[in-house]
Amino acid sequence: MNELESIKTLESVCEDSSPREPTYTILLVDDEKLVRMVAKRRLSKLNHRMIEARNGKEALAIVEHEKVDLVLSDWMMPELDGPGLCEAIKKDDRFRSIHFILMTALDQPSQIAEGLSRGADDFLPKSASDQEILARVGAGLRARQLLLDLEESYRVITEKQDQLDTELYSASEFVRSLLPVPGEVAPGIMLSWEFLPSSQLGGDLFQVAQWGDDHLGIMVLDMSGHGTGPALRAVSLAMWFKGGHIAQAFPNFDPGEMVTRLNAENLMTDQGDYFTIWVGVLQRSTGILRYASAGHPGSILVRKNAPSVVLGRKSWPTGFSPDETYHTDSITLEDKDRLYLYSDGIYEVVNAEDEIWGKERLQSALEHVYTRPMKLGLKSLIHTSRSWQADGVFGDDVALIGLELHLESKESF
Amino acid sequence: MSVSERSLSEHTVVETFVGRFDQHARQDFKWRIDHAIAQGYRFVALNMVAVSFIDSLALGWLVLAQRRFQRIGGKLGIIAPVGFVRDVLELTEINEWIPIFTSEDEAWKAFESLETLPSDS
Repeated sequence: MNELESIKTLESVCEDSSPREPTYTILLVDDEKLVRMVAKRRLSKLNHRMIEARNGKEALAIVEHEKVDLVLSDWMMPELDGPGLCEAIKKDDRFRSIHFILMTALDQPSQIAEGLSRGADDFLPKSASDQEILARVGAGLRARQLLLDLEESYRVITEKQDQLDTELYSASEFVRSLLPVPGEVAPGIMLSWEFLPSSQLGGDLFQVAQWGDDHLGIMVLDMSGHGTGPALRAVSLAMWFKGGHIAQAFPNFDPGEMVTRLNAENLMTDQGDYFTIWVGVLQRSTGILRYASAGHPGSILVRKNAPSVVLGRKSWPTGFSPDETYHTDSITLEDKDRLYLYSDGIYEVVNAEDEIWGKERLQSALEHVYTRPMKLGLKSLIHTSRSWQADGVFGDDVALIGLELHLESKESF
Repeated sequence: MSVSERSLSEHTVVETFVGRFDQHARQDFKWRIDHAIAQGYRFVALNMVAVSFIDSLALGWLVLAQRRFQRIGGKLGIIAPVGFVRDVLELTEINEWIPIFTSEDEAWKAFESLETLPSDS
């Protein structure tokens, strides 16, 4: 390669690598060929692609299969005039970001007003100078580019959102997979539940775990807030509760000790995050249920031949007071007892008069559905709580769990 | 949530909240508390008569804020919660952490008696 060829090659490389102005497509619409030719020559300095159409109808057909960025259209034309073409383009979601300039020989304010009302972005008198035409078309293409950038940003955001939604869905499916399977969770103990996170990932979770042959652990927790952070914390606690280490860490399966440990190890975060929890341990051989709670409103025991009882005592949520000791209480369960665990989302709902449904109504409703199959009773309660609300939409996570005891058939009881 | 501020004395200020006290109010609430402490206030009363909703997150922020005031020998109080907010505060017994007053005057008198105590800071 000689020196001249080298220089030419270098120039070619430099030209190729320099940033280029984007090439746009301009559609010239006029029923007079001469006018189209003049416009084409004037705009040729911009080095954009140009397509011609003889009237609005022809222009519409072109827009259907060409990516047009700007339309420079005459006002009066056969078949479909300029304003009609503009209106048709701007009404179509696919084309509304095309910049539309109407050209007219007239310069009447009423005509300009009509053109604007029918969607035109700009006007040009046919008598406009080269300079003005080039400036208006240049400005129009910049506006078009801004809209294209906006559309692209929207597309990217939508794509990311779809991806996030998919990931959130996977995460929520994983959370659901951790929930205990309804049915007989231990001999003579039937489980049903309703779980309605207020967003894809909620802050409520519950768990049932068998510890050895004789102990059944039951837990419901309610994280402050919803979303990924609270859900992850809830999952880690649910895994902790179900883990095999519980027997080593708490040989007596004492729920008060468990809650005290959880409180000491889960201080309120700098964001003010905390959780409430109720833990119960049922010894199947004796029917004795021991329980402890931290800030939880308490579980409700509905009995066949006695008034219902709230199982829980006044206590702080975890993380409020790091040195707090949480106490264990106990009660002996009887055949056909139903134990209900829940989060506050089921009863902290208000009606149109700003009146809260409340725990007392929840307790009364649980008594009321005692004669119904437990699963149906839970569904009925969700319906009642939802109906109480003016908008019928739960603003908080809702977890409602029922355990029914069938002791007579079990010798161990 | 919107907030307005009214100073009652050198060390006491009333912050009046309007609207929903939920996750969207976090920055606003935090800024108000930071600002009050930076201005030298040790006693802050949150007037909640116009707050229509409070969630569990906001309860946590109230407790965190109370801890901050306790560290500087001050106190946070709540004035006149109504409706749903009052019910939630009662159900959670938050008044054992944060005193609830019926009026600004009652809060002012309670804080006035504490203002004479030296600050820990």
